[in-house]
Amino acid sequence: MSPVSVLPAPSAPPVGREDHEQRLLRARSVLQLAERSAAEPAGTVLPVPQALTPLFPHAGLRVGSSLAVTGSASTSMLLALASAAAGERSWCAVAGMPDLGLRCAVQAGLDPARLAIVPAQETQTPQILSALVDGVGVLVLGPELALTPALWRSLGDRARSRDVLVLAADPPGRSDLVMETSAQSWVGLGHGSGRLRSRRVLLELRGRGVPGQRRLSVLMPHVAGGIVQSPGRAPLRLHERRAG
Amino acid sequence: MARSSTRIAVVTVPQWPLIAALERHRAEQEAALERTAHREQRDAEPGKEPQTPQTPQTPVVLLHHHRVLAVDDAARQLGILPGMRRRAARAACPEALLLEAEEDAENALFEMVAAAVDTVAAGVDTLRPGTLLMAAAGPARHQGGEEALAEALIDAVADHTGWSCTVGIADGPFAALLAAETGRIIHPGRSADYLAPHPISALLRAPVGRGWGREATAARRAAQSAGQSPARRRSSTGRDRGMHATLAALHEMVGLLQRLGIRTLGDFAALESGAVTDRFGPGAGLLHLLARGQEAAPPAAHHPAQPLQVDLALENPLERTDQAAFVARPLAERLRAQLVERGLVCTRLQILARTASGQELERTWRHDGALDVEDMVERIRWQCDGWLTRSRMRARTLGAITHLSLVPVQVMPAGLNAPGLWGEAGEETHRAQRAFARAQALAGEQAVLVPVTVGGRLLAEETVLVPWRQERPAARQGPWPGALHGPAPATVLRTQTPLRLLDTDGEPVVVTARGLLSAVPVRLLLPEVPPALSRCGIRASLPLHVTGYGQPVLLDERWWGPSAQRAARLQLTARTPEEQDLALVLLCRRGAWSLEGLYD
Repeated sequence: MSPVSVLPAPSAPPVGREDHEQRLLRARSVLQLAERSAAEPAGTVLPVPQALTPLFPHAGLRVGSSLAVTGSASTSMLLALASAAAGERSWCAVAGMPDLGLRCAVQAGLDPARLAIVPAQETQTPQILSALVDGVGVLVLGPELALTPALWRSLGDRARSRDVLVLAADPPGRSDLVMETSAQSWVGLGHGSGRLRSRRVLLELRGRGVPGQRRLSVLMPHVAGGIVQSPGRAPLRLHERRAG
Repeated sequence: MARSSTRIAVVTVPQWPLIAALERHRAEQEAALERTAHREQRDAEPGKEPQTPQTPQTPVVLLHHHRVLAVDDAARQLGILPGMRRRAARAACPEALLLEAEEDAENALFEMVAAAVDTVAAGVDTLRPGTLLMAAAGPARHQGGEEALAEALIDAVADHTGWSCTVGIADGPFAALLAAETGRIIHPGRSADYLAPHPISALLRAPVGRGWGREATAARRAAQSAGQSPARRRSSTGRDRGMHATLAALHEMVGLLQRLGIRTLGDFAALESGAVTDRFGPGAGLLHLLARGQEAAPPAAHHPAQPLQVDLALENPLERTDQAAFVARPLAERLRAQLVERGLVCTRLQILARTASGQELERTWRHDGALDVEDMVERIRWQCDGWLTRSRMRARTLGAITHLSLVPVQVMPAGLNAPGLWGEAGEETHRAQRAFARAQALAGEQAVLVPVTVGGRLLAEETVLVPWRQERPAARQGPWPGALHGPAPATVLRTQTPLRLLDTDGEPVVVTARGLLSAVPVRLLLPEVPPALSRCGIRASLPLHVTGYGQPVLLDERWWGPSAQRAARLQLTARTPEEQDLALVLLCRRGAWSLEGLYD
């Protein structure tokens, strides 16, 4: 007796199974869509300097987020980020940087017609900073401001609701992203001749949206005054962060 | 904003829109009668007399978009009041004559009154049709007293145009305006006392030009039209142009102040000006200044170093007013570009014209707030219209206009008044300006500074910080030999930071008179470390190893005089204890080194 196959012909699958598989496929595609849309930023993304786009998630900085920049090239990086984020329309306020080089700010791309410098005040710092957060598009906080953690938190909340980008040099609390800069070497000066041309800077970014950390090596300022990616060598390990 | 006030004389023709509309109506009636008279003559019907134009004995009501704007005495007695609707006015008096208000015609006709006042005084500014301002000191001296000036003005206007006007003289434009309604001369220094008892609704007659409240109306319009269809938006913008937008904004402000319990101008003036600007905005700050009897823009406010003027020689001489609209726009845009380039805003604009017969005409328009291109174009159009109308009415040929010039007689630094080019840019600018005004109200003027490049050799001197809204210092001319080229340091120390530069033997390195270093610098020592450097891990008196240095650049300032200063600038790289390359800019004066900048 030859075995008789009891299963139906393979060309016509059973109706129940097809529904199940199709539903599973559909569910998976919907989940993928949902995951992708959740990964997209809610709100506008401000541009960053061209060479730094591979460093940032969403290729830019979300409005309402905060970024801390530390290290030996922090001021130039703050100015470059602020000018790229301010763009053509937004105003930028720099608070608590009494020794800011204004020519460097203009070279970085900040429009002096849309720039306000706020010196550090002994009294009423919280009120002035909250007044600024209500008005400008990009707020840069220098290291000389005596920020308390509570003030930093409330500024962050306010910035989130007003869609203001906050760039801080040394915040006393957590920020959405943290960038560490490390100036490696300057090119251009010899022994008794030449002038400073460009410097290699190592950047490391950590924080929300960044898996682990991302590293990039750039030339800043490049000969033409901007930031370009440094070609060639893989970035070396950054120095150990000094305590305190 | 300055705080002084000058003696100002104001000439007003009461109910000017009504008078202008009546003139227009009469002219139309005459024209219509002439046409019918010609037709009757052609039909050759002898024995019929031509009809004289009908002088309206009936009450006259002036309307604007179906609302009553002004009424004459007969209509007022019948109960028609400004603000009623057209239907209500018709119901109150069916045989009243209803005329439509037209701003262009009012402005053009007012030129005749301005020309009449010109014969008595110079420097006459037109604020709006119906009101003229001028500084009273000079003309009063010429006429021999302020009463004599007032009488001369009234006589001149009556002789040349036949209309009656009233004159008021006081300190500051607002007091003069209110005094002109009753024909008073206020003693010098008593303007504030004169203004104090007036009710707050007197602000509706404040001498603010068309630019006042523009930000508020624009913001409100933007907020309202966000949800409207484009067709509706287009129709509402047409209505908002002109003095009516300013009046609406003034009504709003007066209503707000009344609801807050401020009943008289004296109460308003007693408030603190910083608080008023902070709470209500810069427009209210201007009203506050006026309510105190002061002036926002005194005649001698700001004279640009290079006088601005734009000229246009017309190939086809101007004979009709529609031609004026064509030529006005490129001229106004050129002037605006020049003003924007210098960061200035024009508050008094002088329009000059030269005719084919060599006669020169000029008129100055006064304004509060930024004059944008539209305002300038309209004024040029009205002015040319006015001149051509004047020549027609006087039956004297003025000749065609061959040259037009615009001269901004009085300019102010842009600051608060600069309008944005596109709606969003303006919105962001206004938000930022409100925030800065608030910060300055909290902590004084020095709380918010803006950078102004003035030029210089030293990095700390080439850009200065001035308080926001203050007048900017002029840029210093000239090449600056020795200025730093290439990338600029991100941190420029403005306090003296001495340091020591040592060679291999531990001897200090100096810059010789020839501009060379005396020895190879090997070590750098900082007795006091500024915070910018302590963040890089540098401690006081810890020697830094010098890895590279450039050539000293000599800065020789004012070598010709006793205040000569010589310095040398040196770029240097040093290695920090954390194995990082630090780039510095040093200055050497008389053998003592200091830190100028740090490439942070």
